[in-house]
Amino acid sequence: MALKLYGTSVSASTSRAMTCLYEKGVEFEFVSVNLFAGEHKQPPFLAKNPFGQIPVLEDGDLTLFESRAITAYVAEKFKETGYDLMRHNNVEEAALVKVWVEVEGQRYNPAIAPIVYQFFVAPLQGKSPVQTIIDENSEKLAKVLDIYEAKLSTSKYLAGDFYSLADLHHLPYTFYLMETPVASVINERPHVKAWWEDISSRPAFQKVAAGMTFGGK
Amino acid sequence: MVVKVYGTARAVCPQRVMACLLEKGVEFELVHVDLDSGEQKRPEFLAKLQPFGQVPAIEDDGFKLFESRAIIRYIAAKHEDREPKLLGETLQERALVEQWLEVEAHNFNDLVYTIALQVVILPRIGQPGDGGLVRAYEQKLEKVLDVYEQRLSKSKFLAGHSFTLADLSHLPAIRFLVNEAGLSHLVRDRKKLNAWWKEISSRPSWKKLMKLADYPLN
Repeated sequence: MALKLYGTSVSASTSRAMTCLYEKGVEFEFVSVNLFAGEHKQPPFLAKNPFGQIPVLEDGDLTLFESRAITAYVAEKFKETGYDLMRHNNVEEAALVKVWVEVEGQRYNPAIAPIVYQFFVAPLQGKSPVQTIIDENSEKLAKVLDIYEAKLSTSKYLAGDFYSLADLHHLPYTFYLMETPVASVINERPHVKAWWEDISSRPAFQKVAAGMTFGGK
Repeated sequence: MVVKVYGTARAVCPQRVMACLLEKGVEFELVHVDLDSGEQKRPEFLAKLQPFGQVPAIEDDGFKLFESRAIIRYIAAKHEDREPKLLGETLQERALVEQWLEVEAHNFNDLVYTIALQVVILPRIGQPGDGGLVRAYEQKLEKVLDVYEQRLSKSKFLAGHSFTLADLSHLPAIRFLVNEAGLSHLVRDRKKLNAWWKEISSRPSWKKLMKLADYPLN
């Protein structure tokens, strides 16, 4: 029985999970969730994720939510196929992947998500982007990226000289950021820029990015 | 060689790491970092230990690591064969451990942190906390903890029938909620959550940590 991924093609979190599935060459069925109709906050969906969020992965009788738990599960279950995202044969490399997975989750994401929200989601709800939110978070993101710039001048990717789940987790939100004026925080940092160009050109992500269009391009 | 943990005994994230080391019976040395004087933001600390200027960081025989949630995963993986099994045994169990670790990080932690900022951190630097914000986040926490209550009425621990990293990761913040934050009702009012909290906070390793941090035992 194939895996089922519930979400939407424009959702950054869903895209995170989907990119991982493509990197591992895992077959899955994509089930679209109607966010505008509030489908994710109603009982049938709440039985899958009581927090009412996408994505959700179903694998037989296992139901998983939280995109980063989904990617960890897929990377582990299919560790012998597709690209080696978690360095499972090397305890220390695997640990370094986990460090930068946490950095993305704890430091990068909280700064970038509000920026993307203001530019892409607020307008869908009839609101204008709030510049102070954008400015404050751009400043936070810039400080985080200074650290990334230093790290990426010593290794090609975040956890070492190998692409890993840690880099992958950054793809969706950064993709959206690059469509805004705040793209400058990436473009102004040469190592970060080079890293971004490298990771975003991977075929697995290109497939997912094709669906990441708010209102069409 | 003992593991070096850089931090303090009363800070939440170092506590997460030390709880894990104690569970696995791994000897460690707590190297005190003077947070009040901003030691963690100084160039030497940033260069040698943690570029984001935060605690904890660990040094395990020359191997350096930061981010408490990455550290506990590393320790649990390194000593996977030793009891207690904190990662789950089957692939599915491991997935559920990851899921609830993520829930802690993305659905729970920010709410507690915002409250901690108002109640403890800002007052410590002489700034008033925002009581309205505390009440608003308390409401959000109520909704999240309702989900936990629902989960814990189906399984004894968050990821299944045994204590794992998913439960451990919650210990420091819940300790804060029922003590300094004065929000013990959030736990007490929920039958299963309360039983779970009593169970996990009475584990010998956690009690050892409470002693190390010099909290009164209750």
